[in-house]
Amino acid sequence: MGLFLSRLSGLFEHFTSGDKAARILMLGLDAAGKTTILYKLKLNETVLTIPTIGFNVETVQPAKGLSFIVWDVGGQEKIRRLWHHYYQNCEGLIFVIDSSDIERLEEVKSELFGVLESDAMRSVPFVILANKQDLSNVLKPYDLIEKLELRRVGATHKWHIQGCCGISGDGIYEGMDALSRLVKGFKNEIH
Amino acid sequence: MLDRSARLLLGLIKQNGNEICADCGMSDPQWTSSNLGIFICENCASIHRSLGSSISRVKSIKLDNWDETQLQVMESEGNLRSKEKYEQCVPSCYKRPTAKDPQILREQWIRAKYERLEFQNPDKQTYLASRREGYLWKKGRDDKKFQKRRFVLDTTENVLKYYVKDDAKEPKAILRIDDINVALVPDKIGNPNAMQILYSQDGHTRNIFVYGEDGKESVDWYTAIRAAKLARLAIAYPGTTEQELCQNLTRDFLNEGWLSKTGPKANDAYRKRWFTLDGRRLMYYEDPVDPFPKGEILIGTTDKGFSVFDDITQAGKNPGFVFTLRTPNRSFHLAAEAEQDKDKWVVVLKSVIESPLSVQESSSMFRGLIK
Repeated sequence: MGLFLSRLSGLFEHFTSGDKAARILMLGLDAAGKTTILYKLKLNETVLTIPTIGFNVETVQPAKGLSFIVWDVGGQEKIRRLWHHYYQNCEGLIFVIDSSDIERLEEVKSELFGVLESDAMRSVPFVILANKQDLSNVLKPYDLIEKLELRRVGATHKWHIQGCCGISGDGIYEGMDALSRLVKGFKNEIH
Repeated sequence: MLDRSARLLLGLIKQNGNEICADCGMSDPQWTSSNLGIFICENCASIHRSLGSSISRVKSIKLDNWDETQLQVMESEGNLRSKEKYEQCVPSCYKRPTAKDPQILREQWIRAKYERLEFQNPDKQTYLASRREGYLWKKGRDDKKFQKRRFVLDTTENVLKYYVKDDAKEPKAILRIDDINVALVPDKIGNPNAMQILYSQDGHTRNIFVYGEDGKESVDWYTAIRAAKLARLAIAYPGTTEQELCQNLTRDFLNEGWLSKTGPKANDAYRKRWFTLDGRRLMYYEDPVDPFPKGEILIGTTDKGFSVFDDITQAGKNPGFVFTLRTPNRSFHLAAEAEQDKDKWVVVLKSVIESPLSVQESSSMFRGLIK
């Protein structure tokens, strides 16, 4: 059985190795936890991050045979207007939300829909990471679907929402798994 | 191209304690906690962000939009008022971090202030108790493994001791509080919560490397040791103010790093050693985490025959930038890998040599050398 599995995974590796790394954009309000998640994925370490002015870019391999080039762009209000410079050739979006910051939910909603409605992001699939689930009084993914009116997205984009904690890493890989399936579908669609 | 709110905020950082970061004192803070109404530096902003938005909402002066209510909070609060509220009763032995201190110290200070409200509630300052007992992970003397050990700090008995087994009757080691120094050494150990406890007796130093389960545990022990040392000093120097005594509770290393040194003979080869300068005590090690230094040099003053200088006479024979430390007994030729490292060593050693020996220093530090 063990031998069979190792052969099978070898086959799988061969099958996927021809795929180019997908270009993934990671956005969200300031202090949502984007950079923390990026370095959790990249190094499996919890780093204390200063606010990102500009961007971080890393190639990450959340699973064997799967690689993403993730662009993590700063979320401070006045630099959000620079987000659109990163839209081109984007094959998947990670939108990170601080699930404990209920006060800024309207802001989250308008920024998210702003990104989705832009031409360059048309039909690009996205995964919402509902971050900071370790804190008390947080919104769960199903609350967020309601409050952000995600059902409005409808047929234009395929999406998934995943609760997570960037510090412990819980839920991040599940989120990346969902994203990889969505990205694969998206690539097949456009080619 | 600054908007009205940025201009207003930049005006505010010129006054009322807002000129420096509310938490570490760094000048020209460009970030804020908009709900706490304080101005902070970028590094402290990163710590504030990790507290969660229910405690602190970080906003940039220039990169965020501000509404009237938020601006009013900044205007009416500010760093001085915030200190009055969140630093009501900071114990004098508590080490207030500066921008140069390791992250653990800055992070725990910020968490103590705004998350645990430790300086509004003296009951939460458990490190002030005259006895403290708990667990720390301690590096083995002869190996690199860290093991969980029970530590007891007892101010009345003037001891810090630890036990190998929980039910052990006798401690493995008993250290006199008067003779220990403690420094936070995250980089040396590769653990953010790591501390080095130095214990000197008869002119010889022993190092114990430990870390707490989390940042709070380490800083609580660090502060407890400082509190115990303060209590001891207050007995020894009854006339001195707490503020004065608090300057000498623990010593951060004046400098540390790799240098190559020769042996005492002219043709001895250069060997790489880790040098640590703790006050007037210059120690060198084969490995930075060795329990005992290979050698210790007590740095005296100019009139006692000590000097330090750049040494070009040694150029060519050595692997770097050489300076010489002259003591009454011997000259040490030391080579740094980079010029700025050499310059720093020379400046730091010079300042030690030029500062006068206190009575306590000459009697306590040099005690072990008098035969």
